[in-house]
Amino acid sequence: MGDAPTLDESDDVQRYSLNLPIDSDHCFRMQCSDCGMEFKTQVDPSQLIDSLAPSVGRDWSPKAENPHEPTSRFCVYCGKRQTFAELRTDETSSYLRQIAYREIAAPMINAFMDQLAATFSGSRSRYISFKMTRSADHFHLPPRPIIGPECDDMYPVRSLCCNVTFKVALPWSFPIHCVECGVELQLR
Amino acid sequence: MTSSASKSMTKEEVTQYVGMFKRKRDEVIGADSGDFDHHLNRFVNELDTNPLVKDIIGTLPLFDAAAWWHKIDEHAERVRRFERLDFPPNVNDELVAQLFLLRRFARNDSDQIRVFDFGCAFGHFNVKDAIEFTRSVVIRPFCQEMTERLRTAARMVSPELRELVGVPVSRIPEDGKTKLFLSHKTTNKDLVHRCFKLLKTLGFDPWMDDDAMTAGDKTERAILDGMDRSCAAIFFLTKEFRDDGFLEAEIDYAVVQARKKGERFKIIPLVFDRDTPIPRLLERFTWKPVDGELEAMHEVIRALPIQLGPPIWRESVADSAPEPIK
Repeated sequence: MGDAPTLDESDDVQRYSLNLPIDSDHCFRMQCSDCGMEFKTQVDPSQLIDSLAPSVGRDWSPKAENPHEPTSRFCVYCGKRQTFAELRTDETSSYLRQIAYREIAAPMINAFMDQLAATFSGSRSRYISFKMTRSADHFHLPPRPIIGPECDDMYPVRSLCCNVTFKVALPWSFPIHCVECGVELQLR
Repeated sequence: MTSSASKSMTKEEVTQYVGMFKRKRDEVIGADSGDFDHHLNRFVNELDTNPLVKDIIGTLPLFDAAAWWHKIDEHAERVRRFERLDFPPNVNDELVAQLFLLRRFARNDSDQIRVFDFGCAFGHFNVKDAIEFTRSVVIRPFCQEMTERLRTAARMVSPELRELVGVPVSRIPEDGKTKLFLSHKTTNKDLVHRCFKLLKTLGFDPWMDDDAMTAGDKTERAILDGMDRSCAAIFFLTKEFRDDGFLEAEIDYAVVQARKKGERFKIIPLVFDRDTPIPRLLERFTWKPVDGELEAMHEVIRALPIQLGPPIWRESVADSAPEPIK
């Protein structure tokens, strides 16, 4: 995680910055949810916000600073069109889940339990006395995860149709697909 | 920094070693108190056996981490507890100090520093708190720094890969359908032969009626078959060119192909002599007066519906890559 979360009092918005690894050509790793193969493509950081929502939850939908249309890409190998969220690798998904849990869910659980303990602490009526204590084993924040590094382990391909660069894992002897338009390509 | 050992690693090896480090790193970062010791031992073992990690550690400047720790320990003895853990200010020395502690945590002898004792020494008297403290001040910062160094090392050893080109399948012509037909008068054979050789050397597939056909083959059917396998017909219009006989048939067949294949067949008339009458059927096609063979070939290459691929080294040159200057 980049900066520590900050609470903006003016609009009750918590802002986070996130560092996701890219390789030396600024390519981000993706994984097709259909065929399971990995490839890389260049993305704008704000486009990656689309992929965060399923990790964070519907009530905390992340919003990019400069929102734009949700983006999708075609799988290089099977040609299936998918959103960025569907193209997240297992490693990225795990990392985002850990971050979301550590920075959002765990503190909320802790705060709720503290409130609960304060509510019932020493509470008594004529007939019932109720007390809640928490053990010294306060709900631990899980450790902050680390992601990366991202290796240069794939081969760059430039598609003549859309003039975009993406990366594929070779050897691959079948035709591939342009990540932008999905058209079938042959490697030369 | 990396040594020459890592620079000789293949791209696949680098990827493998980075992957191995990442797995052990994530396991020790995420381990809970029940299996923390197990994953810590595996992580330290990885540091000592992973070739890329060893290479990074091996290039670190010498720092007497034992002396550093002894000083901290001595001070703690005097004041009865550790107050805070002051790593050396230099980032390389800090890395060496953290590695020293990690190795002492993983030892199984009298020199071992138990993680629980380490945590207690800093006021964390609960196993989980001790583990979290150790993870927070030693393990995670070490992992973060090593991750950065691995990223740099991996990029330095990875050779620059030439970009491949992804050609839309619709742009790939059928095999054997990209010939270039050179139509000419026999008296201009020498001129056309020179152009033929140049086009061949460049990588195109030119053909002419006298070398592509055997004796007895010079029939209209043979010309028709040849045209069908071509993507261009180049007409060398010199003052000797006459729109009759076989030349007339060649023009006719070329026009048929242009009608049939559209943009995938080009008729390229080259006018070598300005006084040469243009055959009627060729008048509607763009024709170019050219001043010599070089200009003629330039116009041909510009007009063709096909293009050649990216450059590659010849086999003999590729086998003799220059030695790096030491």
